[in-house]
Amino acid sequence: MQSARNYTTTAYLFLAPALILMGIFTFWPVGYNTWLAFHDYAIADGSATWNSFAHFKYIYNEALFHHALKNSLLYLLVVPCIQLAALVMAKLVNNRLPGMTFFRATYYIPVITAISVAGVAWAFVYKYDGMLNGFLGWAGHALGLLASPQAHIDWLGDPGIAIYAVMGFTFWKGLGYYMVLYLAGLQAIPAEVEEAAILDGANVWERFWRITVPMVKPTILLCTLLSTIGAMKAFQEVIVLSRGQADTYTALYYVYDQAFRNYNFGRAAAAGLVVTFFCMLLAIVQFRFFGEKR
Amino acid sequence: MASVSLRNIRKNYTRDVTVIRDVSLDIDDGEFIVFVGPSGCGKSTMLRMIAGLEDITGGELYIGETLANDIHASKRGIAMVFQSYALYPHMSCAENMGFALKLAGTPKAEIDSRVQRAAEILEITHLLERKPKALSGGQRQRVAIGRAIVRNPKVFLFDEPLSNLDAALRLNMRVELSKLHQELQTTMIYVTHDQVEAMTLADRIVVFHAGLIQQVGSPLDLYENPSNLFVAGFLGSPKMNLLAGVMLECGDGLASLSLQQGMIVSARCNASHLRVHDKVTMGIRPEHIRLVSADTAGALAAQVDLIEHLGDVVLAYIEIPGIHEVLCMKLPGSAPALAYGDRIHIAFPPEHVLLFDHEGNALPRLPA
Repeated sequence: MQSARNYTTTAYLFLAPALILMGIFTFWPVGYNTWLAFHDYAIADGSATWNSFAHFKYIYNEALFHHALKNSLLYLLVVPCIQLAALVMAKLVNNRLPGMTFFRATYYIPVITAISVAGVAWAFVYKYDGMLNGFLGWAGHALGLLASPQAHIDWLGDPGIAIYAVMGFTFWKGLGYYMVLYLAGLQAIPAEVEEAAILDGANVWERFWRITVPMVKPTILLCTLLSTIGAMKAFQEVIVLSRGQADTYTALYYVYDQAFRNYNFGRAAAAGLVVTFFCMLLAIVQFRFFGEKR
Repeated sequence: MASVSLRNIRKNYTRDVTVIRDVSLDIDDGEFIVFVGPSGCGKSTMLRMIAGLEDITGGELYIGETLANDIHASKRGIAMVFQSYALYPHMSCAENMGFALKLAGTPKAEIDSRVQRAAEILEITHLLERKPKALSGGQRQRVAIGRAIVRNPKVFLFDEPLSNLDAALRLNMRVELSKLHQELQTTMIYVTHDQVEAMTLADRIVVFHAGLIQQVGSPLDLYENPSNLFVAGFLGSPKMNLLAGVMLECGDGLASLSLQQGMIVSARCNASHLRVHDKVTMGIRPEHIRLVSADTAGALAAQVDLIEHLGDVVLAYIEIPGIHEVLCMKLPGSAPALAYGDRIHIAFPPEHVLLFDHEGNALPRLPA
């Protein structure tokens, strides 16, 4: 018979590999970032001096950071769109129809495509004389809405729409990922429950809204959290498509600029903490909304 | 309440895969009918076709006087109870029970009163505000039955509703279902593979095998007069003892047959359409085998292989030398103690011996 102390030691030994890795690659960077946010860090000699919240005071008053944060919050618009579309898509591909595996795989391809490669492809789509304008021009012309068969929209250059164009790219890239998560959630719903609802007289919409959605609520919470964090962290999409031009400058792009262009690691760390704070705030709201009521 | 009529019902999943073959059956208004059969025999598919959850490939389904083939499941006036309960986990029991009425736009006061009434019948009023996950298996099944009652259906369908419950609870629920039927007097169609449920609940049993109805009748009739070898072997626990033999004497009186090693057995069956030396199978229920003394006419020597004491009865598994079948014999608990290896003598009373021809069909029994 093992004593309680031996048992605990064994448990920690089993946990040790994961804990060590998490310590090195998660907890330590987070802790160091937090420490850095309150210091002036000199990259030349590696010295850091306490600055009495100077970074926070600076970004509190800085218009550029406010603008970046506003853009990041605007980027959250992609969250409900991608969640709704992914859930509907998952519902559609959760049918036993011929060729369904092909569709499931096809929708997942953007997820596994490298963002740089996808970015190049989408730059062609969004180009002034690119695919999207070509298609819109053709469709508009065919419907008699446009005089010429070429639309002239500067998708990535017009500050009024560039961020939405980048959000469109995020939507395309992430849709398959959330679809797969929802598909797993949908497949966990017993067929009998759906059949009971049919017998109860629920139509397709009522079954979706009153049975399916409540039963995939845990998956909705997970996906919403992940996509919210993803949207708040929007950076790669911006750098590969617009490089922060045309009012697409996001909070994480600000962090990147401060750290690796201005070499102001302390200010970057402070901005990073503020982004984290917003992420946590949103997570709390989502738990309130979708979390299980006690 | 309504009768249900099945007329030449067929179900094909593909052109080659037929699961229900030309099934016709009339279920009376208020009758408790049980579909029984082994896994894959088509009984659940038949129930799902009546429910409207499966399309009917061919034939006609009437619920009452209405042809129901193309009527939507929710409009057929049926309610179904599933094996897995199929409760909505995010709704309270009351919401589960009232969901169909809510969808139908029934006023809230009426929903509440019907839910309350059903809950009182099932004695679950104290559970109405709970979610299904806070209930035991038996309580969940009551809620599922309550959901069916609330709809006030013309026909209740039960798809193995007790299979997920433990033995003691199953017994309780069985009794309660029986009482419920007496109280509601509604047509009930019940699918099970458990023959005890079938025997105890049914007004009539329908035995399915390979998509065909093998026999329809009252539980006792099916038990005592199975129409073929399948029904004879399927109903009864322990199952009927079946031994191969050849006819020695065929007549419309006492028929006799020879088992292996020349042992002769008589049966009070009409074997007039058979000929001497035709192959037959004899069947006898375990409780009908008699323990006799060696000098009794027709006594067969046997040896005890295994004894099972069940309290009220003793099951003795015996072997007759030369016959490579272990026979089961059911004796009263008070019968003389038997032990492994005991040499005994048994007899098959002719009035209890059944005969089946080479196609497996039972020969008509003659009155004693």
